[in-house]
Amino acid sequence: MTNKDVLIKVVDLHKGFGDLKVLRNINQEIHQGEVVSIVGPSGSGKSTFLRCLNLMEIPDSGQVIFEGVDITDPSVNIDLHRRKIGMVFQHFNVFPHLTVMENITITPILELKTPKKQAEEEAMKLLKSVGLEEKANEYPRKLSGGQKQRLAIVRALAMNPDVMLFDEPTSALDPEMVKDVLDVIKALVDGGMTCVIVTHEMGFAKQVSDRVLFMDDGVIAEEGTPKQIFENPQNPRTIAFLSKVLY
Amino acid sequence: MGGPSILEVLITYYPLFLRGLWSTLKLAFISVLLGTLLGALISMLTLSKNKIINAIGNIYITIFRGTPILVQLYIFYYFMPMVIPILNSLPKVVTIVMALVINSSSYVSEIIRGGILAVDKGQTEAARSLGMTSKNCMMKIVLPQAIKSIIPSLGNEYIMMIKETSLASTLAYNELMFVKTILSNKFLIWQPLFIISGIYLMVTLVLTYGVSLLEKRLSVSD
Repeated sequence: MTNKDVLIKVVDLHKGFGDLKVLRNINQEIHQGEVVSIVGPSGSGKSTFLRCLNLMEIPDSGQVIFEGVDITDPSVNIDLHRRKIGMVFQHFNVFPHLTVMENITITPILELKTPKKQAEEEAMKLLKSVGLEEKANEYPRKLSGGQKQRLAIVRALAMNPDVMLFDEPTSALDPEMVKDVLDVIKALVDGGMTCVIVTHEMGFAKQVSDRVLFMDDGVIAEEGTPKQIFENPQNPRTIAFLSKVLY
Repeated sequence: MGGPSILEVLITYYPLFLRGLWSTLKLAFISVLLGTLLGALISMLTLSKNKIINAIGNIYITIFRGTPILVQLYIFYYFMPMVIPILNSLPKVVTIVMALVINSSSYVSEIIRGGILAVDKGQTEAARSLGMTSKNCMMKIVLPQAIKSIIPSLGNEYIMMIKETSLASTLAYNELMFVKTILSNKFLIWQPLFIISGIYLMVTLVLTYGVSLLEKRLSVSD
């Protein structure tokens, strides 16, 4: 674990949907520059936990403190903080009515008041970094799934976030597209970006993470370095899960 | 079925029919146009998370979609001028337009609401996760996508309204259907009815074709 400043601190987080308790008493600290992977069975609350970090889901109780500010406080302007927290979704969610370029520039121009020309130059650099510069003026319908996800990643990066949240970024991709997307995430990690990644790609989690959280039934059942979790898990639930997913 | 033939009546009185048609098209257009503006407002109420605001929108829609448009026309025509005296000094058509606009708005608001809800939730999530304000998210991300399903439905609403304006003839408003009343004074009963039906049919067929073209155009960019 890198021993730098705490970027996100989660305190006593609870979240339910109706009678279903999805998250129970989660406490976590995510540090500057750290890469944290969250693994676990479907329905264990991994995505809900991730989505609480930028308040896509409003916690029932508890706090999410991002860069020293409790963003669960209703008086906080959440939009300002979300601009510093990039998020990448399983289903890409690129904007189909905008060109690839516009997908990236619309939010910086609207919300950061970045001059259009500057936003486009920065977008072009980002597109080059993921090999999509030739698609700049296309609409997303012309892109493959892998290309859409790379677009979604650079769209988030255009806001210059301090942390990136990935919600199963490769789960909706055809197998041959997965590597392209993972390569982009890997490059981000190598560049020092703080990342929280919900994933089913165990090999990838093992390779890039500083820390792995194993979630089951709404709690973090076990956490540790990738080596500890994947090679020497202690919790029977972790062992049971890994025996099913590791081939 | 005595008297002159349909063709003879049409040739003799075609200016009357044309004027009536023009009146009908205008009345329907103004009603749907203003109904769309009001309907957009009402749809914002029904999309609101505030339960009270939401209920107000829903009650409005329930009332104006749940009662016959003819009854609404009569209430606005006879009753509203008593409540709002200034309406007495305005042309009578104002109360007719008011009734049609309000009726239309209740249908249009549901069209708009449906169009907005049909946009994938992931679009809103992506925009909001980038830090876009809810207003910008609605104006720049959701509405531009919703409009594709909204516009053809508005076209259909216009077609419906063209037919429904015929009810205004019962209030002696001089639209297409009222030509029948005028000509019945000349003992022409059945011919105008067939001519009027034919005109309505032609107009709705042309507009329906127009809407289907529009639908195709709008779906191209998907």
